[in-house]
Amino acid sequence: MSDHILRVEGLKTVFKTFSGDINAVDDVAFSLARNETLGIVGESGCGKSVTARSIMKLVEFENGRIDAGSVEYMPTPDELIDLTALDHKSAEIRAIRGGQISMIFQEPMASFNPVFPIGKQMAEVLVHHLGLSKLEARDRAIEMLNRVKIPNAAQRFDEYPHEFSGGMRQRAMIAMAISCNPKLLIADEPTTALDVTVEAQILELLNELEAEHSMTTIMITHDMAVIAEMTDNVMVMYAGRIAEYSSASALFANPLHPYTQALLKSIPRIGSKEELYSIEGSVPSLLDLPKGCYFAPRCPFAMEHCHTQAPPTFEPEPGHRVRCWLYGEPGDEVRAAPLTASEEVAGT
Amino acid sequence: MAETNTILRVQGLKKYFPIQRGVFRRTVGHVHAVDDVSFELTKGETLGIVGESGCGKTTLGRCIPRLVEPTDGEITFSGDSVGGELRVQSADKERIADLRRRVQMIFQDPMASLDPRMTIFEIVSEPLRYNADLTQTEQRDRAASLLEKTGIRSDYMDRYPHQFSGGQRQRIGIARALILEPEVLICDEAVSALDVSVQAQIIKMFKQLQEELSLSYLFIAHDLSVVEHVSHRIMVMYLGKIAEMAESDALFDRPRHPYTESLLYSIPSADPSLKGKKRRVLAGDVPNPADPPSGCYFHTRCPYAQEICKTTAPPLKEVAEGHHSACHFADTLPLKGYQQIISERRSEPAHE
Ligand SMILES: Nc1ncnc2c1ncn2[C@@H]1O[C@H](COP(=O)(O)OP(=O)(O)O)[C@@H](O)[C@H]1O
Ligand SMILES: Nc1ncnc2c1ncn2[C@@H]1O[C@H](COP(=O)(O)OP(=O)(O)O)[C@@H](O)[C@H]1O
Ligand code: SF4
Ligand SMILES: [Mg+2]
Ligand SMILES: [Mg+2]
Repeated sequence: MSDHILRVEGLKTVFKTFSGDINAVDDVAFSLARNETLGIVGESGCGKSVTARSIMKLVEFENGRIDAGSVEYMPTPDELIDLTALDHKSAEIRAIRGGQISMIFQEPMASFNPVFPIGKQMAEVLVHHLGLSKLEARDRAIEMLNRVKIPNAAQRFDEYPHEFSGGMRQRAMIAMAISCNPKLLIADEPTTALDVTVEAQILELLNELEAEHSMTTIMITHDMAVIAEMTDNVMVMYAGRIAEYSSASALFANPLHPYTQALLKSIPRIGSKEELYSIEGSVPSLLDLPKGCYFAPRCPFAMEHCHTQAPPTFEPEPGHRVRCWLYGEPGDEVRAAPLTASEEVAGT
Repeated sequence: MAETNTILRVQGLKKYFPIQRGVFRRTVGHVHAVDDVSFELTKGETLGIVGESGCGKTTLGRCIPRLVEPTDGEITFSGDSVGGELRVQSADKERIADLRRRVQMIFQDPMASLDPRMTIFEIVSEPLRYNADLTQTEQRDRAASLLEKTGIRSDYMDRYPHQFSGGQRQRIGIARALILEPEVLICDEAVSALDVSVQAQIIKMFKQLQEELSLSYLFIAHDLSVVEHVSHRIMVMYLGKIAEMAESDALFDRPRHPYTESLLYSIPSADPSLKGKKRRVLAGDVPNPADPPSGCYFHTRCPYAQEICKTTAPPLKEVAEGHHSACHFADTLPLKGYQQIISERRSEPAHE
């Protein structure tokens, strides 16, 4: 059987707000094989970050709760922890969060406290998660800063976050995130705020580190180019739900969901003289979702029942799942937990 | 480029910001944000401006309608509405006001430029109040027609900005910029914060407006795929200077400056055959603009730098028709174009 590190089933995350309950993530299911890079892509507000924060049990620190579903984490092939069952403040989840599962963000200042030197903050994480002595932690932190190509790492150990350039802060955050040898790295738009030259440096660095540390990664981005260059499998989200899930190569070669098709046609491609396709309308508000398929109001292929009945997930090709009525009828839907796409493809 | 079609000519434009220190705010140096930039913009043309953050794109854009006072240089505007040329360097107040009417800016964050307490009608028609003698009804008609043109239903005119999405707010900002019938729009990262589907809508609209109104654009953006898509010509800036300027196709097919080539290597591509493939990256950070390197500003990061690059600043010269580069070796370096880079990357080994 396959070696999975994460299996998410029927995940539903709700936020309480003044205007009512918001269903930010709804019926999200996927598995993640060891060493896989899974991409989560979609436009802002579609639930990418909330999916990540739900896995990490962070939504409970906000006005959120996990309403349904499970997140099974398998640190080794014979251990299984249901993360949703843990208290968000428990020692158990705190040992996992930032150690075994670590996160990097778009804004590195989200990871660093501006009033402490960067090296000191990195060392503290190492003391907490790996139980290193202060001196060992310092050496390891400097080694990591060196690894992410921060010049004069030993000297910069004592510098404050604001003394680093934007690109260097991003590297330092990555250094901190991988310093405890995480089993799973969740990168939430790690290059979105960066110049293209620095973005290329960071993507290259992440590729190198993934190879060196045989890391499993969830790469969250709104950029299809980052998906193409970095991921094995992809989950396209729309209004809190998974619209499509497949291997990255199948997604680009043969996108099934009308939303994915439209999205791929609306990105400018260098050298192409074709007009950009533009999807009319806008993403629905989570407070006022359409009754049937969430994409129906903008979908060029929408049929009558699309407006009244929410489509289930179909699997028209092995490992390629799509939530759209064009691909099946009631009764055809898949219910079983998904394996990872490329694995299913390989198994056929 | 016919002389008569030039709508904007910028010559030797400089903007130095003083760096002040201490209690007495003594000036200890200058940031050369824009350093001797010259170019022309033709009627109906889109000139893209790219470069890493801090290279002076915004400052250059803001100098043109004099939202930032240039340190030196000449900006000549020859629009339709006024006979003769308008020299900004010596312009009096009235002429500056005229210039600001004919050159409008659009910014990245539409929310920051829209007053939350004003209705959409008030926002869009505000420039009319100081610049035109129209009755309330005439103002409403004009605002309504521009809102419709930019894709906002005119019966939403009495709503407030917070009732609109980011893309809609950008449309409202564009309607406002268009209300005085400008000839040049300076779009400063105007689509950078938008989601791709909305970005595609706005880019399409920019193109339609250009055709209908023969607008000229200075299109500032850090996303090279977007700039390639919208621009006729592209200017690549590095530390306040023009590194290269050429027709869009020429720049991507046969770049003549090593910095441009490095940018082309950096662009991620929506092509899964590049998955995990090694890429050449431009190492290091942009040098401190207050203390730029000697010689060619790019020599500290340039893979092709020679001795002369450390000592002598290369002038911007025309290396092929309409193709300008500021590199000592612009004529001889075999720099790669975008498609070549992609095929080279495909044949690279993957990581692992
Ligand atoms: N703490 C919160 N309270 C209320 N709504 C939230 C909260 N966090 C996120 N949301 C909403 O959940 C939806 C998904 O957000 P998010 O996952 O951050 O989107 P993205 O795909 O851009 O990362 C959005 O509509 C967002 O406004
Ligand atoms: N008002 C200002 N005072 C001092 N320095 C400034 C000011 N505005 C911009 N700069 C500096 O000028 C340089 C160019 O900035 P900017 O034009 O904003 O670049 P870009 O738009 O390409 O990111 C930067 O080094 C920036 O710090
Ligand atoms: S002048 Fe020299 S340093 Fe500058 S870009 Fe050309 S080769 Fe590189
Ligand atoms: Mg997010
Ligand atoms: Mg700028």
